[in-house]
Amino acid sequence: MNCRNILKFAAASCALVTCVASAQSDKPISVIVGYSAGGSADFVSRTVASEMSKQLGRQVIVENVTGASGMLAAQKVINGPADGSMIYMGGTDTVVIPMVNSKVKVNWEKDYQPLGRMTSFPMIVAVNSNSPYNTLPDLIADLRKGKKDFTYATPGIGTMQHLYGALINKNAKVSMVHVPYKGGAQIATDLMGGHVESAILVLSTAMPFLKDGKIKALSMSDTARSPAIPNVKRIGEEEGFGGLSLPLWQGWFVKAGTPSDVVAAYEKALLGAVNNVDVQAKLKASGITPAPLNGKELGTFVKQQAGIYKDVVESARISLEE
Amino acid sequence: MNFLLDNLSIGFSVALTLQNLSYALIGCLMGTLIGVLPGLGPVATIAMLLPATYSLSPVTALIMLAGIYYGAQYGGSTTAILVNLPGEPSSIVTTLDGYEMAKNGRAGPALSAAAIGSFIAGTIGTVGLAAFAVPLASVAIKFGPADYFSLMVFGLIGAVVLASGSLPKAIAMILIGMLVGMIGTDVNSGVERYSFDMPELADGIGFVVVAMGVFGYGEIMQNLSRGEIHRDLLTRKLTGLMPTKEDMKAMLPPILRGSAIGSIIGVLPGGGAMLAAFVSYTIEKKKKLKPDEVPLGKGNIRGVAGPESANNAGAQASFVPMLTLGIPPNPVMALMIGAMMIHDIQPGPQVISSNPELFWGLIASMWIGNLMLVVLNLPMIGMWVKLLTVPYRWLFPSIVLFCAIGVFTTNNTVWDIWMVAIFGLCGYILMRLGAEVAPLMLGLVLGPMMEENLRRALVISGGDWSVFVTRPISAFLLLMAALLVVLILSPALKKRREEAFKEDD
Repeated sequence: MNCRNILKFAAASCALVTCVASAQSDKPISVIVGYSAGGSADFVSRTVASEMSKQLGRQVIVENVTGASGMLAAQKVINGPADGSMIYMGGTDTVVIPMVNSKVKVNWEKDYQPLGRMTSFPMIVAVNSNSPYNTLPDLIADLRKGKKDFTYATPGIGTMQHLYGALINKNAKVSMVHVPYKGGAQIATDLMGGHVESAILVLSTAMPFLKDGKIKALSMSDTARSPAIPNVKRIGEEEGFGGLSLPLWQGWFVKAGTPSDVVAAYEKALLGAVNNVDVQAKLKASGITPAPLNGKELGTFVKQQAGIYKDVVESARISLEE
Repeated sequence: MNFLLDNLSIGFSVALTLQNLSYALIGCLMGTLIGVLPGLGPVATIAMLLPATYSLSPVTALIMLAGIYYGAQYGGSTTAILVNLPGEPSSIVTTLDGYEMAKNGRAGPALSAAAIGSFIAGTIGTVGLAAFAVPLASVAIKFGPADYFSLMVFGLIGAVVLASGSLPKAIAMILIGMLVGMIGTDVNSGVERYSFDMPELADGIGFVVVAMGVFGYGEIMQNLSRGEIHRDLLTRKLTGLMPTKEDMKAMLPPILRGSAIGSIIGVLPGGGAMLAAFVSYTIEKKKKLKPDEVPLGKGNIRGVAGPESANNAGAQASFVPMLTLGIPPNPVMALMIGAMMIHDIQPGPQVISSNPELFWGLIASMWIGNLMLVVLNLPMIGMWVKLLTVPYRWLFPSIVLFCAIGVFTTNNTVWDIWMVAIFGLCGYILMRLGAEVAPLMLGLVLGPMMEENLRRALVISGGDWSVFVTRPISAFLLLMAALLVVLILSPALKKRREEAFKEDD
């Protein structure tokens, strides 16, 4: 229900959007994306940026500054001027990486002003279709009985997938073995080949294999059940998880201290762009769920999520340092 | 068989769209161009063009880049035959008989033998790729981390055996490549290694940057240091392209043999076009001469037809391990993987089922590309020959500039340009020292993959090293690797190896 209300709100604010910001400056705005062209962060940014250009009457250009789990981009925006010339494409890494690596001096609360959320999408815990487990409690029960060396694959240390696995370990008091990979695609292949017992995957990338019946989903991480897999319980419904959720999300930020009229104009244009019918259709066609929130709501949302991340990171002692 | 035809029809429907046809043509043209020009190879060219493929669809991008690779095999022979300079390393042996034929006024038949041989080999290579990729991919899904590790051990040892220069140097190059590959964040612990707290090094040094440096800038420095090459053009004698009936009869068996050799060697790690050409020439040389035949090295058409077929078949066969296992057998294929990654396609056994239009479209386009190349190379030969008269001092500044622009647009950082420059210098020094850079690239690509899989296999097995010998695939591959080591060390082979690689001196 909550989600629908947000959409209503967003749709209403969409109607209010006019070409406000065009008077301020006609210099192009750069969106700094910390990942290479072709990935989902890049795709979402480019799709939203082109619509936002129309709304603002100013060019919005995507710039890929890759490296250090997106932290080079995060730092670039912090080092830049606070005049709205740069927008930072943030996400879970923005919050998690500084928690696991003390060398990264990025503080999302102090360094940025949130503009709005664009997307939110679930991860799933998946097993091979030959696996005896059909639900998360099946698996947890077996692990508690003393099953050892049960592996779960993720795209790397300190990724949200790793946090999801660690969260299950922590709250269900079990100990699955983490198998980190370098990025996501090889994981699905190894899961189907039976080389790892389970894997944490982004739902959209797992969808074709789920449809083919090659893998099964035991649990999903979003705030609400997904229409694509209505029978899979969300993690918050399980015993011991107290209704929590752990979705992946992407949002735009500007440097803290940016003039409030600039922030307000960008915020409106961003909401307008994410609510645009064509933009939504484009995102959905690529398996990405548009989930617009305004700046203030994004701030509240991230703050709540950051608490969960911190708990997991500390209890599982996840770290990128020795 | 029906299954194969269905797939090929998907492939041709993709490859025959106007856009894909034109990009295949662009790729073939570029490939021929850089093939004809000595000192600019497919690795540097593909690395340079990689960023330009962002805006294309993945299949179009791969069609164009693949065109450059096999196009270069065609172009390389033209220079080899007419100027006695290999346009590409894979055409080194073609100079031996090709140039002799040209001196005797038989440049036309030599060029036709090269083009026709390449076309037949290309056709056979395409069919082979289509037929074997699917069964291989279904085996590939059974490959676990332990098996991948053993495969890479086999591959790296293979690369040592197949390297053409000195053995210790080849081993050193692989080890240096692996060391450079260790830079960056460790997958299993997340700790940064050799990054000196520089965030730019946290993700390691990009393969493209190194490739562009050592193959692009390194080659340029090497060429410049040699001074202007005296080019002895034999265009005056270029009359009558068509080979005689006797020529046709003489060249068909070596073409078929070359195609078979190329198809097998191309699949091997460390293999590819150049080695296939060497092996084919060695075999042609061993064959008994017919009574009225000129010996090889004195202008025998077999010495052109065989290696030229083998290098093209080898170029195409090297796509097999890349597309099915996600493992690059040579630097060009490593770049192809890069091209797929920027479009968010992870190469591996899943590509055939998850992106059938990409896979089959690429295969179909290879055959179409080969057809285009015959047309480009035979009737338009005059145009390519003219290109050879452009002095190098006009060419290299633009190559340097395009490399710099290309590498900057990949990550939008000036850092990468500096890295290319540094690796260019390293590449030049290594070449002057007589060390081959291809094994270095393989070490760089395979080293980190090998470590990742080794440690993953151990995490999954709970630290039990016996997985490497208890899993049948892994055990078999390790055994093969051990056999290769024995082969390298055996004195008989050592001698043969030295003989085989003497041709290029």
